[in-house]
Amino acid sequence: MFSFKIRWLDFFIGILGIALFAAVFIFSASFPAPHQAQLGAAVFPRIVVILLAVESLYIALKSFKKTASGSLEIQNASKVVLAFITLLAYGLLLKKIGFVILTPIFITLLLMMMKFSRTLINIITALVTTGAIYVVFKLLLSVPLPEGILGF
Amino acid sequence: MISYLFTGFGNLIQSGSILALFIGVFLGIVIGALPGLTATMGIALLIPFTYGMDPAFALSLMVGIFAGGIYGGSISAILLRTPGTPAAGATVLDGYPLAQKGQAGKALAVSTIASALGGLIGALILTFLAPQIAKIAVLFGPPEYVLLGVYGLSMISYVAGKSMSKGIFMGLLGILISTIGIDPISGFPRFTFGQLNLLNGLSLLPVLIGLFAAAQAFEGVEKFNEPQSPQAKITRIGLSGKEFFRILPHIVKSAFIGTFVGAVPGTGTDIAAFLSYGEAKRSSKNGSEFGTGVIEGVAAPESGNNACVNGAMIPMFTLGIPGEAATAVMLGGLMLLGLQPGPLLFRDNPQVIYTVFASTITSNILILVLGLFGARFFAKVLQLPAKLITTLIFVLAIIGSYAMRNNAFDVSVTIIAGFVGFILAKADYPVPPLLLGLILGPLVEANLGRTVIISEGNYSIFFTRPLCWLFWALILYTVISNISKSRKASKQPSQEAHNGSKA
Repeated sequence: MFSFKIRWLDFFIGILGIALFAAVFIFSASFPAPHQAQLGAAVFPRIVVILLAVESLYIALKSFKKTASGSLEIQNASKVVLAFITLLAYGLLLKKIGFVILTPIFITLLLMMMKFSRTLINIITALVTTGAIYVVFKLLLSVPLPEGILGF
Repeated sequence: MISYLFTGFGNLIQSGSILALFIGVFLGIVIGALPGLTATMGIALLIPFTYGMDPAFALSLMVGIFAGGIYGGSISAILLRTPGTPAAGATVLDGYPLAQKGQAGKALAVSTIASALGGLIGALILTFLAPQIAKIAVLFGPPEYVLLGVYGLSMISYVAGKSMSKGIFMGLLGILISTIGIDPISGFPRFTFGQLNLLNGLSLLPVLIGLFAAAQAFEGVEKFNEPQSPQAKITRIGLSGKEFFRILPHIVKSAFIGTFVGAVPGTGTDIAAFLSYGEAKRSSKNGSEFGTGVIEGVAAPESGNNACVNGAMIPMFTLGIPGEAATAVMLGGLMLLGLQPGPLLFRDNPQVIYTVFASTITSNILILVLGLFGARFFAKVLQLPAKLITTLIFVLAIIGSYAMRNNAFDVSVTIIAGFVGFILAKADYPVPPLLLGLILGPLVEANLGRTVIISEGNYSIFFTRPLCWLFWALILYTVISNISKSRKASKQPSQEAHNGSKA
């Protein structure tokens, strides 16, 4: 299990909010000046980011108070991260390689990761699921699924 | 207006939207019954596939999933002691003890009848009240819309959950993100860093799918080795006439509570359910028996939460202000269908809106039929392996976010939003305020821009219009009541156990 104090994250997010404040003011400096009686492009983001900075400062300062701190716990953290990476790879390669090829691989990997069943059953489940999604979405609902190298 | 409603019913049947409604309610019950899957998530996953559909058809589908999902949560609350959606949290209190007494069938019948009747009352109020509110809302000019948006945003503290400061942070972050892209007044591209993908802003839908679907699936991976709870056995489904008349007054009262709670932006179905339960317990003769398995304790929250579904649609359709997560997601869907939510919807698209009203009314009849005759089937659905469902959600999230623009950028946004949402929720950074900010930010900014133009830069316009004063009063009331609420909460921290962060 992966665990750390929420107040560390609070402190980090507080700092991030203040950095956002600086960044918005720096970038919006180059926004064109408004014509008369017009809201300039920079005004609204600046108002918002000022409020955000106040809130961030509050969160960051509060994080020093030791009393108000729980722990952020992620069980099976390595699997969650692995799932994230697998998902990212699946999502980014999908257009190039195609739904029909990549989806069974993705589902099998994920089911193996979560110890769903024996490898053979995992593969069969993945193939059946992919087929079902293909029929429902592509054939019945005519949703465009990424075709990739196979062309269907 | 009645004639519009009749046309709506006619259109519901003629256009085949009733089929969409049936599918929606059915899917909604399944999604709602499965613990961890919420109505909000169902709608978020569905939206990309409604692109290009007839608006009435697509909206009927969404209405069905919303209503069915909130009802479906009670099935797992009764049979598994796990609320399928946060809205069914109060149903566990008496539903599960009833099931343990061997009366699971009776509990299911009560929840079905209460959900359908409560929802029906809510739908009727929606149908007759919404057009009246829209008539007033037509009078709103840009200054009123600015204040309305600020009022909606001030409600963030209600949806914030455990920590109000973190909720406000998330809301402001949402507004800031909404300023990415072309400025609505001057047309200048802001914070795009030369990325063409960002010119129209970070599109809402991939973010939605990430936050409400992918994040949930990451949680599924995290908890993959937790055993599924054992299920109570279903006995005869039904209840006697005497029992029906015992719960009827509670159903009616809870329906009004639920509709009202739903109509106030910032509150959600779970709050409606707990308030209804509390009121039933207070006013009931056998109040002390609540919690041991009394039918009133199932009827009240189930009537309240389904009425709330309809109440929540009142501000969404009439003002374009989402009250909570599910209607916020629906609002995103509405815009995608090319409909601008707000009072003009009633003038420009009466046919669509009255078909939707006909849908909300009919959805409750479908809940009654499906609930009473399909309960055993839905109980079987609860035995589906959670691991497979987790995987399926990932795949649907990815192809959904692809389906919109066929672009890998959107998919990365979905995956990253999902992962970040999963982590942030664990640290009490609630996700619904972010969504509220994303949706209300542009509304406030664009109208602020228009206000400045019509008033020639004179900000006193916000204090010279009578309707503005109404909003100032509402905003002031919300802020003050929230400050006092958070003061109270900090004195007794354990009281804040339930919150709207997942609704």
